[in-house]
Amino acid sequence: MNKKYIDIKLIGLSLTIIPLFFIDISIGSSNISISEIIQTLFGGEEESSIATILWLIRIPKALVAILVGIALSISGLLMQALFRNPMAGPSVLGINSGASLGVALVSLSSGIGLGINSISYLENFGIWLTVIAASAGAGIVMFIILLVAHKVNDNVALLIVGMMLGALTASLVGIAQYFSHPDQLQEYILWTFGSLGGIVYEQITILTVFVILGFIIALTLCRSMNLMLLGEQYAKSMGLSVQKYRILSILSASLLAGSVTGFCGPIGFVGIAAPHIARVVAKSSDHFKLLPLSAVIGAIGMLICDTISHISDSGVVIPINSITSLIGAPIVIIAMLKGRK
Amino acid sequence: MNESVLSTQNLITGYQDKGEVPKVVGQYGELHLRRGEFNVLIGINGVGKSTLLKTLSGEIVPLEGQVSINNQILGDLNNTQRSLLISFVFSNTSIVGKLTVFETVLMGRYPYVNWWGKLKDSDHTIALDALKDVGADHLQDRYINTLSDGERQKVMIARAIAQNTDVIFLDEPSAHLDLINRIEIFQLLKNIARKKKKAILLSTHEIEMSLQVADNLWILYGNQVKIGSPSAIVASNFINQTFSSPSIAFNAKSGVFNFCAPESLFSFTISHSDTVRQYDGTIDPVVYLEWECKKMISEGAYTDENPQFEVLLTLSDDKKALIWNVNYNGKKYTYDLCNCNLFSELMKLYQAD
Repeated sequence: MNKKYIDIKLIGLSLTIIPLFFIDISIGSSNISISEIIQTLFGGEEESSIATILWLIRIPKALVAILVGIALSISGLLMQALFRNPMAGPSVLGINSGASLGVALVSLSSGIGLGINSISYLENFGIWLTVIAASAGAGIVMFIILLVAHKVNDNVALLIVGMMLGALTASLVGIAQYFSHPDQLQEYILWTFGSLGGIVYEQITILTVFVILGFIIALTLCRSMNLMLLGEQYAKSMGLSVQKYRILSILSASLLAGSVTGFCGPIGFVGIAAPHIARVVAKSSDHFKLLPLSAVIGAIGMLICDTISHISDSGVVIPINSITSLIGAPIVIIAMLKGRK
Repeated sequence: MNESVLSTQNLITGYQDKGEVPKVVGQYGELHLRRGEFNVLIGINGVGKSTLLKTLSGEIVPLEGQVSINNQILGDLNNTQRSLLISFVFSNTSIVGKLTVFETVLMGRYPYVNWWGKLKDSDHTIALDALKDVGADHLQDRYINTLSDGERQKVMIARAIAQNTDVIFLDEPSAHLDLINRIEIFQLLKNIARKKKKAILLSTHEIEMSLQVADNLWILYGNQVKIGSPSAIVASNFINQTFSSPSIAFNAKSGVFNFCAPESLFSFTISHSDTVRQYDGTIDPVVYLEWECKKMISEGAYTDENPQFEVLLTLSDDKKALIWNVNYNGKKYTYDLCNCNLFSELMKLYQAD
């Protein structure tokens, strides 16, 4: 077994996070050179505008990018293992859709007569409201899925329920959109573009807690995920309690994807693409190798995507969800073609 | 008699859906699976082989009675505890992703590791030894999806050995294999049962092969089971009674199933002259004649004291060709062996009347 070999890859990739992090925070509408960054971060200058930009905008954003990358890629890996399907991702369980419904109900609420004013008037509270609504939506869908997983002993059925919940919430969102004011519609659509920005440190702390929790659960599932590679029959015969594994997988994936969607909106393709790249890099399906590799690759991917999203000098920021899909889709195709050889 | 590893009391297998009358599949009473014995479970499709295997392995709860392994009642154990007593090999393995042979065999050690999955050096040694036991250690670095079906089943058996359980169940492990691999797998399992003192139960449709290799046959019929050594089973004419079909008959002497024709057409005798032994072509005339006879019987011809056709195989005068001489209703016909299908020629004559 190439144990040392893989460790070198993992360490190498982990180390690239550091330069990518600095590139990400140096590029933007006003470029900040690396020396300025070092001076500001370690030199103790706290009053300058550069310090403000770095500490309040760019660093939190880059940290969120790393957390999102880790969370979504692990969530995707868990789902791909559970459904034994490389095209599965965090979205298969309908968690994204649940979050969308929550946000749609809040941001479009006056349109459908719930009487809450547009969230933009609520300012800071509005951000929290969106986060809470999205998390609640994701949480409710997660609860339904867990309930179904507990009752039905069939992964295909579970997949169908997830997809149907997605369709259901999409139609509810559609209805809400139809009856809402164009301004509110714009707010909702802006949310669906996804955003890593505007997240304050206390929120990052909450997100970190969720990510760590999900990650720890995922760590305990590596053995089970490996067993599932041989199929459910074999997995059972080697002592896997399939039901427990399913529930824990869904729980972990939901915590990871749900919290990310809650804070940042829907972010596509990272969850599918990162595990694929990890498989190509590791040349193995051993989840003890794939889990840390996926997390690191997810973080790298999100840092790159975030850098690209604000690479323009003019201050224009391209929606992160579009970038991840734009880059993620071809990567999935290439990884699939490479993997077939 | 060898030590019993698995035993059942008053076993009744079947299924019960909530609120419905239980559906009984088999009433087997007391069964024993003994250490060092290679047992083969046979029976027609749908008779309950898989249900029995699943019940004996604890996946299905018996309708009545209980299964115990090494004096532990299976119903009291969870999945992990059972995986220390029983390992399983299935007919098809659909492996998703890239796993090497060694990684796959190593998974047999998973029931022994903690939640984090830390394997010890001893686990690696056990896995490698298991691969050597099945003669597949040269494959250890290959990816499992690049193996042939036969190699893959050997690896899955090695994985079962690495799991180090007293009982190994195999559910039609040779279903997708060619003849040579099937024979190899059967012999391999028999050796493993002997050398490693395992109690093995394998379900299959390979009756003829099982008769040659198995220590015991478990034949399921109706909702019963008949257990015995191949000799005892064959000598009691049990196989013909159990696997009765108008189109097949078990020959107890040769241990082979023969086809039976759907209808009796005509009677015949077949023999050869002594001169055919001088034939120096590529075929053996006597063997050819035996097979032609078999084929004719499977098509509906039968042997009789007053045959309608008398067939004699002779050598042509120039000793270069074999000739069928047919005597039918007092008339004689000759056919070149190489250029005719004897049965259809006889059929033509028969139908011409």
